[in-house]
Amino acid sequence: MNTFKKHNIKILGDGEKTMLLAHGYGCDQVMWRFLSPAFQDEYRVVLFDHVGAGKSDLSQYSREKYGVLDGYADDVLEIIDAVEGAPVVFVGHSVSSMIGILAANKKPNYFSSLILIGPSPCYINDGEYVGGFTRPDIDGLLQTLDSNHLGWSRSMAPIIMKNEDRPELASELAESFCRTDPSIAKHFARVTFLSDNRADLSRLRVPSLVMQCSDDNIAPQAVGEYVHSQIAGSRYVSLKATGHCPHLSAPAETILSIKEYLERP
Amino acid sequence: MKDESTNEGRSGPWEESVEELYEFAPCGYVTTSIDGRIIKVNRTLLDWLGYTSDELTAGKRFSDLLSVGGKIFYDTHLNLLLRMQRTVDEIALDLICKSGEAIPALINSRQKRDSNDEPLLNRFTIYNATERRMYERQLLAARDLFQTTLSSIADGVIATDPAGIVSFINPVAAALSGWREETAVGHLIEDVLILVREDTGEKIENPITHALRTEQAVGLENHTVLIAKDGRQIVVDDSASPIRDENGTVTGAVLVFRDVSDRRRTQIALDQARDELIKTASELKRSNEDLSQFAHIASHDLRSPLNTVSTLTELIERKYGDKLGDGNKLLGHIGDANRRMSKLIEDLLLYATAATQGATVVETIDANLQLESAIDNLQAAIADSGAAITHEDLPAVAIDGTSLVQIFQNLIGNAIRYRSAETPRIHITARPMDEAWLFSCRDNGIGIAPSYHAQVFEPFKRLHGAEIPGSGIGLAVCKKIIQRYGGKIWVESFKDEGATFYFTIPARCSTPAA
Repeated sequence: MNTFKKHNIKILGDGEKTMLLAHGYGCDQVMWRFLSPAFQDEYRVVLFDHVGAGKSDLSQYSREKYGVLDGYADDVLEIIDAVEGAPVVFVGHSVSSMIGILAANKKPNYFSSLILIGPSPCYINDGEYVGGFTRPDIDGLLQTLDSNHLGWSRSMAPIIMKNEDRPELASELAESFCRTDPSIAKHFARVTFLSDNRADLSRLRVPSLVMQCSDDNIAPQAVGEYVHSQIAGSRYVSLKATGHCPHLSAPAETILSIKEYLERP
Repeated sequence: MKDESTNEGRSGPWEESVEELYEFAPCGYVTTSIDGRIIKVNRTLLDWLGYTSDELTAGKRFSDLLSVGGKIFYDTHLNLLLRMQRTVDEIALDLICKSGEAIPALINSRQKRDSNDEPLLNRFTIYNATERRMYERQLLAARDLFQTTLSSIADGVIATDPAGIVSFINPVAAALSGWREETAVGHLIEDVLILVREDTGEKIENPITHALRTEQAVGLENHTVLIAKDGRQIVVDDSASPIRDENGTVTGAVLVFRDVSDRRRTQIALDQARDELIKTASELKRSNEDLSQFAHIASHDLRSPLNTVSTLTELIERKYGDKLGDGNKLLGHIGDANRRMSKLIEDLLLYATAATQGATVVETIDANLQLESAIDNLQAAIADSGAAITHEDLPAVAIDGTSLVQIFQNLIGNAIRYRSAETPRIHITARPMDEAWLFSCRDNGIGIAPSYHAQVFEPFKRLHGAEIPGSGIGLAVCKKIIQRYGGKIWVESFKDEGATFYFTIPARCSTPAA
């Protein structure tokens, strides 16, 4: 099986060190568009799509393997092998920050550092712990996904695949962004938002940076502080950027924070 | 506002201010900063939500107006899509009113950018979609019902469009055909489901193609074999129907099929067993007929030289009797042997015919009467031996009368013949047993050692020499007759302790076994 095809791996720049950018729930590698150019001089920047997202090989999707985040963590290690990039700077957004932690706990020597953007080890409130959501909230999300995938059908898949070879259809390509098989989208949503990896935080031995936005609906400040408190030796940075995607809404501030950390870890 | 009906001329009702159009448009308008904070809201939306403009523009974000599920969707999809492609249409989200009530809405959005393509603000139009959402939910529920039903049933189901392109395939159909659900969709049915005739292996027209061509349902096709993608051969039963819309136009076809390999295998085994049985039965019948014919021919051919010997012996006696002296005694021996031979031939014929004769029993007969006939036929022997024959009241049984007389006659005759020093006492009884009657014939004769119990029913097997007369065919004939009626005969006895013969005869009429 070709890992490059499976994950639609793209490599930008030719620096000596490798930076692996892992997109979060909902979209694909396109979300790194405003961030990746800033690192291409110094790094070999590796982009990929999780299986089930973007232009990954959907036939590789397995409900069993991807029924837990561990399945995605194994893929990250496989990608690092495929691009021969170890040890990498791993930048993970949202759920991918947790995927990165799971992968780093399996093979710490594959990672030089972890940049965790909006991490949350557990989205559901649990006793003292405030994740920000309740179980019915997640059911509501699944319903919203149902309503918004009405127009999506499998017959779109060939059109999306075709566009890959026809760059002149860039605008149509953009249309495919964030579009994915509804059943996979729902399954990934369930696996993401019902995961609980709090116990894995304290096992992390790789230097890491926790990046917290203001007013993040998905990963509130208390969650970011919790992650920082559980990972010994981690650094915490609070961004002025609001929302859940600072690399999209405030790429300059995000890039600066990452660079500062990488220069003086 | 002015009364529309009285307005005429250039200052008519179409003269509407842009401001009023914005505030009272039949949809909601929201403008937000790039980080999502609400800058401006129109009156229509404020009325729907129950907020004042100040409440919303004092720092609330657009996502604050959404349900929790909607907030997550906004942050993981909508906001990202806007940043990437400026335009996102037809997003279905729930807006939450100040009262807590949810309004299902359909949202279109645009991102305004400056000359450097830097985002400036986001605009949203919001349509109330309460009815539509309900309709969608019903559609989704119907789709789910359809999907789960077709995924749960044990039959394979494939649907196609009018061109025969697969539009749906359920898991059973996918498993049988060896295709993956997602790859089969979009392929021609003739490529996905290859069907051949079981006997010739010749490819047959797919029932879907047939149904589309004729616009008629195709019934069950027997002896069809499905060649799966991986080469497996599966015997299937199938049927296809055209799918019609409400105008009667054919919009596709649906095929339902099932794996009948197991059923087919069982059927083949059954057919083979039946054929073998018929063959064996007809061979048996022919062999019985041959045997009967042989017995007739043999008895005839054996009798004629015997008759010649008999005639010649009589001639010698008449012509030369006075000259032969002791020779007459020898002639007497020849005569005796001749008669014994004649009796043997007669018995052989009797045995051979017992296997094949016996008409269908149409009515039961009174066993008491048959016993009396048998006793009559044995009068001389009974008188000689002084035998005492007793019996219980016997039932009516389903057997040919002559056959039953023959059985009684043989058993009683044997009991007298093989008597002990005592005067023979013979007692006959009958007891019901399942669908039959169990008869017994008990005597106080010399008895039979258990090691000989099986032998006595074999033809021409005699346990005694010439001191006791008999051809050795009697019990063999009884056994043949009783077996013809599906019954059994056996003996319980010890040497010097008398013997009891048991046999069963059906109580009700039925066709005897061939």
